[in-house]
Amino acid sequence: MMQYTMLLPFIAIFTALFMIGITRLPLVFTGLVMAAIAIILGVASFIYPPAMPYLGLLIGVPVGYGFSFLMDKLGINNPLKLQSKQTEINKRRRATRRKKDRKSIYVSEAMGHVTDARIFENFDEFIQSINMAPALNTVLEYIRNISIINNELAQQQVLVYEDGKKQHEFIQLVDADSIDEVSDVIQRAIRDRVMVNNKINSILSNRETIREIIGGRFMVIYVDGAPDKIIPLYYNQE
Amino acid sequence: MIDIQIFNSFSDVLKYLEAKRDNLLKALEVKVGSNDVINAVDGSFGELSETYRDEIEDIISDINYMLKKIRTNNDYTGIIMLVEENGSPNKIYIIPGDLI
Repeated sequence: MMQYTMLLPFIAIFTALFMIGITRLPLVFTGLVMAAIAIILGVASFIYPPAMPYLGLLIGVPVGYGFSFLMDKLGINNPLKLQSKQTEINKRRRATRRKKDRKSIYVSEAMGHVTDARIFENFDEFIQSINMAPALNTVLEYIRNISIINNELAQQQVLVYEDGKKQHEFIQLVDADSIDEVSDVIQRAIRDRVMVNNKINSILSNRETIREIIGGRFMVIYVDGAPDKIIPLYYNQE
Repeated sequence: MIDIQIFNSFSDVLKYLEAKRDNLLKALEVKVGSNDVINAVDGSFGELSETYRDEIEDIISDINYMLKKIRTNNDYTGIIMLVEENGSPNKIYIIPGDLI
Protein backbone atom coordinates (compact mmCIF):
# COMPACT_ATOMS: atom_id res chain seq x y z
CA MET A 1 0.00 0.00 0.00
CA MET A 2 2.88 2.32 0.79
CA GLN A 3 4.13 2.69 -2.76
CA TYR A 4 0.68 3.74 -3.94
CA THR A 5 0.53 6.45 -1.33
CA MET A 6 3.89 7.70 -2.60
CA LEU A 7 2.39 8.01 -6.06
CA LEU A 8 -0.31 10.31 -4.83
CA PRO A 9 1.57 13.64 -4.94
CA PHE A 10 2.83 12.89 -8.47
CA ILE A 11 -0.66 12.12 -9.62
CA ALA A 12 -1.83 15.34 -8.01
CA ILE A 13 0.86 17.32 -9.87
CA PHE A 14 -0.04 15.73 -13.20
CA THR A 15 -3.66 16.42 -12.57
CA ALA A 16 -2.84 20.03 -11.78
CA LEU A 17 -1.14 20.32 -15.16
CA PHE A 18 -4.04 18.56 -16.80
CA MET A 19 -6.39 21.05 -15.20
CA ILE A 20 -4.38 24.02 -16.46
CA GLY A 21 -4.84 22.63 -19.94
CA ILE A 22 -8.47 21.85 -19.50
CA THR A 23 -9.40 25.38 -18.39
CA ARG A 24 -9.46 26.27 -22.06
CA LEU A 25 -12.44 23.97 -22.44
CA PRO A 26 -15.96 24.90 -21.37
CA LEU A 27 -16.62 24.41 -17.66
CA VAL A 28 -19.45 21.95 -18.30
CA PHE A 29 -17.13 19.70 -20.27
CA THR A 30 -14.52 19.86 -17.51
CA GLY A 31 -17.16 18.96 -14.94
CA LEU A 32 -18.33 16.00 -16.99
CA VAL A 33 -14.79 14.68 -17.43
CA MET A 34 -14.07 15.01 -13.71
CA ALA A 35 -17.34 13.34 -12.79
CA ALA A 36 -16.53 10.47 -15.16
CA ILE A 37 -13.04 10.06 -13.65
CA ALA A 38 -14.48 10.08 -10.14
CA ILE A 39 -17.05 7.42 -10.98
CA ILE A 40 -14.57 5.18 -12.79
CA LEU A 41 -12.05 5.44 -9.95
CA GLY A 42 -14.71 4.93 -7.31
CA VAL A 43 -15.90 1.75 -9.00
CA ALA A 44 -12.34 0.60 -9.77
CA SER A 45 -11.21 0.96 -6.17
CA PHE A 46 -13.91 -1.49 -5.12
CA ILE A 47 -13.04 -4.05 -7.75
CA TYR A 48 -9.29 -3.56 -7.53
CA PRO A 49 -8.23 -1.99 -4.20
CA PRO A 50 -4.72 -0.94 -5.36
CA ALA A 51 -6.41 1.56 -7.67
CA MET A 52 -7.63 3.52 -4.67
CA PRO A 53 -4.68 5.96 -4.50
CA TYR A 54 -5.58 7.19 -7.96
CA LEU A 55 -8.43 8.91 -6.22
CA GLY A 56 -5.63 11.39 -5.65
CA LEU A 57 -6.65 12.70 -9.07
CA LEU A 58 -9.54 14.31 -7.29
CA ILE A 59 -7.15 16.16 -5.00
CA GLY A 60 -5.46 17.46 -8.11
CA VAL A 61 -8.62 19.17 -9.29
CA PRO A 62 -8.74 22.00 -6.72
CA VAL A 63 -4.95 22.26 -6.82
CA GLY A 64 -5.03 22.72 -10.59
CA TYR A 65 -7.76 25.31 -10.40
CA GLY A 66 -5.90 27.12 -7.64
CA PHE A 67 -2.68 27.11 -9.62
CA SER A 68 -4.37 28.43 -12.76
CA PHE A 69 -6.16 31.09 -10.71
CA LEU A 70 -2.89 32.21 -9.11
CA MET A 71 -1.23 32.45 -12.52
CA ASP A 72 -4.06 34.67 -13.72
CA LYS A 73 -3.78 36.83 -10.59
CA LEU A 74 -0.02 37.21 -11.04
CA GLY A 75 -0.57 38.24 -14.63
CA ILE A 76 1.25 35.21 -16.05
CA ASN A 77 -0.36 34.03 -19.25
CA ASN A 78 -1.37 30.42 -19.03
CA PRO A 79 0.37 28.95 -22.07
CA LEU A 80 -2.24 26.23 -22.42
CA LYS A 81 -5.23 28.49 -22.10
CA LEU A 82 -6.16 30.15 -25.37
CA GLN A 83 -7.33 33.66 -24.54
CA SER A 84 -8.88 34.25 -27.92
CA LYS A 85 -10.34 37.57 -28.89
CA GLN A 86 -13.70 35.90 -29.35
CA THR A 87 -13.73 34.77 -25.70
CA GLU A 88 -13.10 38.34 -24.63
CA ILE A 89 -15.85 39.64 -26.89
CA ASN A 90 -18.27 37.02 -25.56
CA LYS A 91 -17.38 37.91 -22.00
CA ARG A 92 -17.99 41.57 -22.70
CA ARG A 93 -21.25 40.78 -24.43
CA ARG A 94 -22.44 38.64 -21.53
CA ALA A 95 -21.64 41.54 -19.22
CA THR A 96 -23.69 43.98 -21.28
CA ARG A 97 -26.47 41.42 -21.53
CA ARG A 98 -26.55 41.12 -17.75
CA LYS A 99 -26.63 44.88 -17.47
CA LYS A 100 -29.50 44.93 -19.91
CA ASP A 101 -31.37 42.26 -17.95
CA ARG A 102 -31.13 44.17 -14.72
CA LYS A 103 -32.62 47.25 -16.27
CA SER A 104 -36.37 47.47 -15.86
CA ILE A 105 -38.08 47.41 -19.19
CA TYR A 106 -39.22 50.52 -21.02
CA VAL A 107 -37.17 52.92 -18.98
CA SER A 108 -35.84 55.58 -21.28
CA GLU A 109 -32.12 55.91 -20.69
CA ALA A 110 -29.11 57.77 -21.97
CA MET A 111 -29.27 58.03 -25.75
CA GLY A 112 -26.79 56.73 -28.26
CA HIS A 113 -27.54 53.12 -29.18
CA VAL A 114 -27.31 51.70 -32.66
CA THR A 115 -30.84 50.46 -33.30
CA ASP A 116 -30.77 49.42 -36.94
CA ALA A 117 -28.70 49.34 -40.11
CA ARG A 118 -29.95 49.13 -43.67
CA ILE A 119 -28.55 49.20 -47.15
CA PHE A 120 -30.34 51.35 -49.72
CA GLU A 121 -29.97 51.13 -53.47
CA ASN A 122 -30.74 54.79 -54.04
CA PHE A 123 -31.48 57.98 -52.19
CA ASP A 124 -35.19 58.14 -53.02
CA GLU A 125 -35.73 54.74 -51.43
CA PHE A 126 -34.16 56.08 -48.26
CA ILE A 127 -36.23 59.28 -48.20
CA GLN A 128 -39.36 57.21 -48.76
CA SER A 129 -38.47 54.94 -45.83
CA ILE A 130 -38.06 57.79 -43.36
CA ASN A 131 -41.35 59.32 -44.38
CA MET A 132 -43.32 56.25 -43.40
CA ALA A 133 -43.98 56.08 -39.69
CA PRO A 134 -46.77 54.02 -38.19
CA ALA A 135 -49.55 56.09 -36.64
CA LEU A 136 -49.07 55.41 -32.97
CA ASN A 137 -51.59 58.04 -31.96
CA THR A 138 -54.33 55.96 -33.56
CA VAL A 139 -53.36 52.97 -31.46
CA LEU A 140 -53.20 55.07 -28.30
CA GLU A 141 -56.64 56.43 -29.05
CA TYR A 142 -57.87 52.90 -29.55
CA ILE A 143 -56.42 51.74 -26.26
CA ARG A 144 -58.07 54.63 -24.45
CA ASN A 145 -61.43 53.62 -25.84
CA ILE A 146 -60.88 49.96 -25.21
CA SER A 147 -62.56 49.89 -21.81
CA ILE A 148 -65.84 49.87 -23.71
CA ILE A 149 -65.05 46.42 -24.99
CA ASN A 150 -63.93 44.96 -21.69
CA ASN A 151 -66.35 42.10 -22.14
CA GLU A 152 -64.63 41.06 -25.30
CA LEU A 153 -61.31 41.15 -23.48
CA ALA A 154 -62.61 38.86 -20.79
CA GLN A 155 -63.85 36.42 -23.43
CA GLN A 156 -60.50 36.40 -25.16
CA GLN A 157 -58.79 35.60 -21.90
CA VAL A 158 -61.07 32.67 -21.27
CA LEU A 159 -60.35 31.37 -24.76
CA VAL A 160 -56.63 31.54 -24.19
CA TYR A 161 -56.97 29.84 -20.87
CA GLU A 162 -59.13 27.06 -22.35
CA ASP A 163 -56.58 26.42 -25.05
CA GLY A 164 -54.25 25.56 -22.22
CA LYS A 165 -51.45 27.42 -23.94
CA LYS A 166 -48.98 29.10 -21.71
CA GLN A 167 -48.08 32.60 -22.83
CA HIS A 168 -44.48 33.56 -22.91
CA GLU A 169 -43.66 36.37 -20.56
CA PHE A 170 -42.90 38.72 -23.40
CA ILE A 171 -46.01 37.86 -25.38
CA GLN A 172 -48.84 39.27 -23.39
CA LEU A 173 -52.51 39.36 -24.15
CA VAL A 174 -53.68 42.75 -23.04
CA ASP A 175 -56.47 42.59 -20.50
CA ALA A 176 -58.31 45.32 -18.64
CA ASP A 177 -55.59 45.47 -15.99
CA SER A 178 -52.71 45.96 -18.36
CA ILE A 179 -54.30 48.64 -20.55
CA ASP A 180 -52.59 51.33 -18.48
CA GLU A 181 -49.23 49.63 -18.95
CA VAL A 182 -49.70 49.44 -22.70
CA SER A 183 -50.81 53.03 -23.09
CA ASP A 184 -47.84 54.08 -20.98
CA VAL A 185 -45.48 52.22 -23.33
CA ILE A 186 -47.11 53.84 -26.36
CA GLN A 187 -46.78 57.28 -24.81
CA ARG A 188 -43.08 56.69 -24.17
CA ALA A 189 -42.63 55.56 -27.76
CA ILE A 190 -44.42 58.66 -29.02
CA ARG A 191 -42.17 60.82 -26.84
CA ASP A 192 -39.03 59.09 -28.13
CA ARG A 193 -40.26 59.49 -31.65
CA VAL A 194 -40.39 63.28 -31.31
CA MET A 195 -36.58 63.28 -31.25
CA VAL A 196 -36.45 60.91 -34.20
CA ASN A 197 -38.79 63.19 -36.13
CA ASN A 198 -36.66 66.26 -35.38
CA LYS A 199 -33.64 64.50 -36.84
CA ILE A 200 -35.61 63.28 -39.85
CA ASN A 201 -36.82 66.82 -40.50
CA SER A 202 -33.29 68.16 -40.63
CA ILE A 203 -32.31 65.31 -42.98
CA LEU A 204 -35.24 66.22 -45.20
CA SER A 205 -34.27 69.89 -45.24
CA ASN A 206 -30.68 68.99 -46.20
CA ARG A 207 -31.63 66.25 -48.58
CA GLU A 208 -30.20 67.77 -51.76
CA THR A 209 -26.80 68.35 -50.13
CA ILE A 210 -26.72 64.79 -48.80
CA ARG A 211 -27.89 63.33 -52.11
CA GLU A 212 -24.95 64.95 -53.91
CA ILE A 213 -22.40 63.66 -51.43
CA ILE A 214 -23.44 60.03 -51.16
CA GLY A 215 -24.21 59.17 -54.77
CA GLY A 216 -25.61 55.67 -55.42
CA ARG A 217 -25.67 52.74 -53.06
CA PHE A 218 -25.17 53.33 -49.34
CA MET A 219 -25.64 51.96 -45.85
CA VAL A 220 -27.47 53.84 -43.13
CA ILE A 221 -26.74 53.30 -39.45
CA TYR A 222 -29.63 54.25 -37.18
CA VAL A 223 -28.92 55.56 -33.72
CA ASP A 224 -31.86 55.76 -31.32
CA GLY A 225 -34.27 55.10 -34.13
CA ALA A 226 -33.12 57.90 -36.41
CA PRO A 227 -30.72 57.72 -39.38
CA ASP A 228 -27.40 58.87 -37.98
CA LYS A 229 -24.51 57.83 -40.23
CA ILE A 230 -24.40 57.20 -43.95
CA ILE A 231 -21.68 55.05 -45.48
CA PRO A 232 -21.47 55.18 -49.28
CA LEU A 233 -20.82 51.71 -50.69
CA TYR A 234 -18.40 51.04 -53.49
CA TYR A 235 -18.22 47.86 -55.55
CA ASN A 236 -15.52 46.21 -53.42
CA GLN A 237 -16.89 46.95 -50.00
CA GLU A 238 -19.00 43.90 -49.34
CA MET B 1 -35.15 54.31 -26.99
CA ILE B 2 -38.54 52.69 -27.32
CA ASP B 3 -40.21 52.10 -30.63
CA ILE B 4 -43.42 50.32 -31.48
CA GLN B 5 -44.39 48.42 -34.60
CA ILE B 6 -47.98 47.47 -35.23
CA PHE B 7 -49.02 44.30 -37.07
CA ASN B 8 -52.22 42.44 -37.87
CA SER B 9 -50.84 38.93 -37.66
CA PHE B 10 -47.92 37.00 -36.30
CA SER B 11 -46.79 36.09 -39.80
CA ASP B 12 -46.29 39.81 -40.43
CA VAL B 13 -44.27 40.07 -37.21
CA LEU B 14 -42.11 37.16 -38.38
CA LYS B 15 -41.65 38.75 -41.80
CA TYR B 16 -40.66 42.06 -40.22
CA LEU B 17 -38.17 40.49 -37.81
CA GLU B 18 -36.65 38.23 -40.47
CA ALA B 19 -36.25 41.16 -42.87
CA LYS B 20 -34.66 43.26 -40.15
CA ARG B 21 -32.27 40.46 -39.26
CA ASP B 22 -31.30 39.98 -42.91
CA ASN B 23 -30.63 43.71 -43.27
CA LEU B 24 -28.46 43.71 -40.17
CA LEU B 25 -26.52 40.65 -41.35
CA LYS B 26 -25.90 42.40 -44.67
CA ALA B 27 -24.76 45.50 -42.81
CA LEU B 28 -22.25 43.45 -40.84
CA GLU B 29 -20.61 42.35 -44.09
CA VAL B 30 -19.77 45.93 -44.99
CA LYS B 31 -16.25 47.01 -44.19
CA VAL B 32 -16.37 50.61 -43.12
CA GLY B 33 -13.29 52.67 -43.84
CA SER B 34 -12.41 55.61 -41.65
CA ASN B 35 -12.89 58.18 -44.42
CA ASP B 36 -16.31 57.32 -45.64
CA VAL B 37 -18.68 58.03 -42.79
CA ILE B 38 -21.11 60.87 -43.39
CA ASN B 39 -23.41 62.42 -40.81
CA ALA B 40 -26.96 61.87 -41.99
CA VAL B 41 -28.29 65.11 -40.57
CA ASP B 42 -26.19 67.60 -42.53
CA GLY B 43 -23.94 65.64 -44.88
CA SER B 44 -20.74 66.55 -43.06
CA PHE B 45 -18.01 63.98 -42.46
CA GLY B 46 -18.42 62.00 -39.29
CA GLU B 47 -17.08 59.18 -37.19
CA LEU B 48 -18.59 55.83 -36.41
CA SER B 49 -18.24 54.33 -32.96
CA GLU B 50 -16.31 51.07 -33.07
CA THR B 51 -18.91 49.32 -30.97
CA TYR B 52 -21.55 49.55 -33.68
CA ARG B 53 -20.84 45.99 -34.85
CA ASP B 54 -21.28 44.65 -31.32
CA GLU B 55 -24.55 46.48 -30.95
CA ILE B 56 -25.78 45.12 -34.29
CA GLU B 57 -24.79 41.59 -33.25
CA ASP B 58 -26.69 42.04 -30.00
CA ILE B 59 -29.81 43.06 -31.89
CA ILE B 60 -29.45 40.06 -34.22
CA SER B 61 -29.21 37.66 -31.29
CA ASP B 62 -32.24 39.27 -29.64
CA ILE B 63 -34.19 38.94 -32.89
CA ASN B 64 -33.21 35.28 -33.20
CA TYR B 65 -34.34 34.66 -29.64
CA MET B 66 -37.69 36.30 -30.28
CA LEU B 67 -38.17 34.44 -33.57
CA LYS B 68 -37.61 31.14 -31.80
CA LYS B 69 -40.28 31.96 -29.23
CA ILE B 70 -42.86 33.32 -31.64
CA ARG B 71 -43.27 30.20 -33.73
CA THR B 72 -45.25 28.45 -31.02
CA ASN B 73 -47.50 31.44 -30.43
CA ASN B 74 -48.53 32.41 -33.90
CA ASP B 75 -52.24 31.73 -33.56
CA TYR B 76 -53.39 34.77 -31.63
CA THR B 77 -55.28 37.43 -33.49
CA GLY B 78 -55.76 41.08 -32.73
CA ILE B 79 -53.60 44.13 -32.92
CA ILE B 80 -50.09 42.91 -32.39
CA MET B 81 -47.81 45.49 -30.90
CA LEU B 82 -44.11 44.76 -31.03
CA VAL B 83 -42.12 46.87 -28.60
CA GLU B 84 -38.49 47.45 -29.51
CA GLU B 85 -36.08 48.75 -26.94
CA ASN B 86 -32.85 50.13 -28.40
CA GLY B 87 -33.63 48.30 -31.63
CA SER B 88 -34.10 44.88 -30.03
CA PRO B 89 -37.51 43.22 -29.92
CA ASN B 90 -38.47 43.24 -26.27
CA LYS B 91 -42.11 42.44 -25.80
CA ILE B 92 -45.24 41.74 -27.79
CA TYR B 93 -48.65 42.91 -26.68
CA ILE B 94 -51.72 41.42 -28.27
CA ILE B 95 -54.60 43.83 -28.06
CA PRO B 96 -57.84 42.02 -28.83
CA GLY B 97 -59.99 43.61 -31.50
CA ASP B 98 -59.47 45.34 -34.77
CA LEU B 99 -58.40 48.87 -35.58
CA ILE B 100 -60.08 48.93 -38.98
